[in-house]
Amino acid sequence: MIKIDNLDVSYDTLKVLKDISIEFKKGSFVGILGPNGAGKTTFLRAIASLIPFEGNIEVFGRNLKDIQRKEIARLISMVPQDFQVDLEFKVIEIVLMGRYPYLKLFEFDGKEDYKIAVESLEITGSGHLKDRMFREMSSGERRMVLLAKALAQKAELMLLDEPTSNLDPYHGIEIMRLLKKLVADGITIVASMHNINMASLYCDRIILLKHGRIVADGVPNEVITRRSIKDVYGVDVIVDKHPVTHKPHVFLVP
Amino acid sequence: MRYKFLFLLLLAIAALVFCLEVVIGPVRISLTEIIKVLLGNSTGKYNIIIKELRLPRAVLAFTVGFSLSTAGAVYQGIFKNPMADPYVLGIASGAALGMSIGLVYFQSYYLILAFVAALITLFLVYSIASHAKGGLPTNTLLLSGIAISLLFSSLTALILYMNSRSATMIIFTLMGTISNANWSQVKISLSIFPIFFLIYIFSKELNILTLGEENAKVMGVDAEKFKKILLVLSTLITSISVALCGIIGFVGLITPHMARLMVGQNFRYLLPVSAVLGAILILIADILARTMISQAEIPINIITTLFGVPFFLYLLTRGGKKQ
Repeated sequence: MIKIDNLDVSYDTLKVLKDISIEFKKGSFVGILGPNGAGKTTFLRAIASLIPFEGNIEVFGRNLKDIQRKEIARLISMVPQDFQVDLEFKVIEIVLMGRYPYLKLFEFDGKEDYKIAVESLEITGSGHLKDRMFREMSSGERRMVLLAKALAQKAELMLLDEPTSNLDPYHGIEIMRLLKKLVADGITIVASMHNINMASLYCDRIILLKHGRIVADGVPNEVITRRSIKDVYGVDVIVDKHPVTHKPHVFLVP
Repeated sequence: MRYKFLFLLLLAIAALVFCLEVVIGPVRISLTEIIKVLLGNSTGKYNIIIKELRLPRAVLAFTVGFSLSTAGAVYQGIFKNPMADPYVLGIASGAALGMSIGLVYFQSYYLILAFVAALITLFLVYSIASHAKGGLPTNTLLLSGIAISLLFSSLTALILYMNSRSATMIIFTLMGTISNANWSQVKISLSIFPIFFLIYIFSKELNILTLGEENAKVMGVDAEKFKKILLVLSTLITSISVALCGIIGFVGLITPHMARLMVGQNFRYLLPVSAVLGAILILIADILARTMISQAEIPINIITTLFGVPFFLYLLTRGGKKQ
């Protein structure tokens, strides 16, 4: 279980997250929604301990303030929105970096780590990219490789910053399906999302953020309503049921 | 597999140029004579020439090339800047200033002073560059390195000017030369190998750091800590080589690029390959320095600069195209 108590985050004098207290159950797929600047990415970065924060974050019984970065990396992995490196790294070398938290000071990655890295690549369907150069990947392939790197970390909590942004529908759905499968295997996923309908289809819990505060929290049916969307995003929409899944579906109005 | 073969091949080439460095010189000495000397079966002038002049010189050339290339590879990785090297960042000039102060005013302690001055330079260049708008862009880092380098070079010149009696020898060293190599220098220079080993140990952190600090943290790397450790170690290795042989520019810039073409970016392979390449380049440069003009010797820095500057300009224009 992940327990967050009174989380506050400020950049200089600007308070970005205000008094957030929330719990996530193991094996849940949580989508964080909210307009630009609501604090979605900051929320993820705080959970990953990438930025200083006030309050307490407990991940599977460990208080993040009490443990070292290497140990945090064994508990929490994170897939960044996107990044490009103009460096000559092979895909497998990038994925192997995910094994770092398990290596001792004088140790290099060994056969076991290589095996885990290859498995992670295969889970994401990118086993064939193993020996290609990372910088030659398309953005869809790159996202899968970064996901594989996070998987190689074997952490129980995985954070994703807008996993489907800039992806075509095929790659977007591919990633969400894969995440759903990982959740079924017991991994807890917290992802910031822009696409409300995508979140509604795949997440089992949605959190709406506005100005650094949680304004709604619950299953998609409760949270994604005409009123909450108007309140958080400031746009008038029509919310109807998805014909197949019966999950709420948002229609924009021209 | 491919890496192992390549590395062994490079070591063999290094051994070959090392032998050439010992064999070639104003006094022609036959190979059999050299073997005799090495086995201890020879006395007289050949013995002295080889044991006291050429061997220490060859070892020093090897270690200097080895350390400057290592430092260059680390700087390029940490600063994410393909044009960083001990010389361009001004760190070599800082070390040279420290060494000059040491030799002129304190007679000894020049090694420690070189290291301290190099660290100060690194700190200055880094903080100037990171205060510029937009973080640590390539050009700001280079420009602040060049500015600090010019400042320290003129301070060094000032100190030498005011102490002209002890200056001649220092100036000669500063121009970048290994011609006055002796065994006590060689002993000091061997300390770079344990430092290299430490840097090599941290090559996995170095790899991850190239993906950016935030990503490194996600993977469990204490980014600030390892950045500091790696920068201090590579500055130490730079200052040792500058204190012994003066400023030899551009080797640290070129070899990591050559190594990258051979083995890619993974520092676990990149570091050893570029280190040995550096040793090979300096040995070749020194052979050229001694043989290009008969009866005279060119400071080795002139040779490395002649090859280095075109390469630097090539990188500069290639970078411009990409943007």
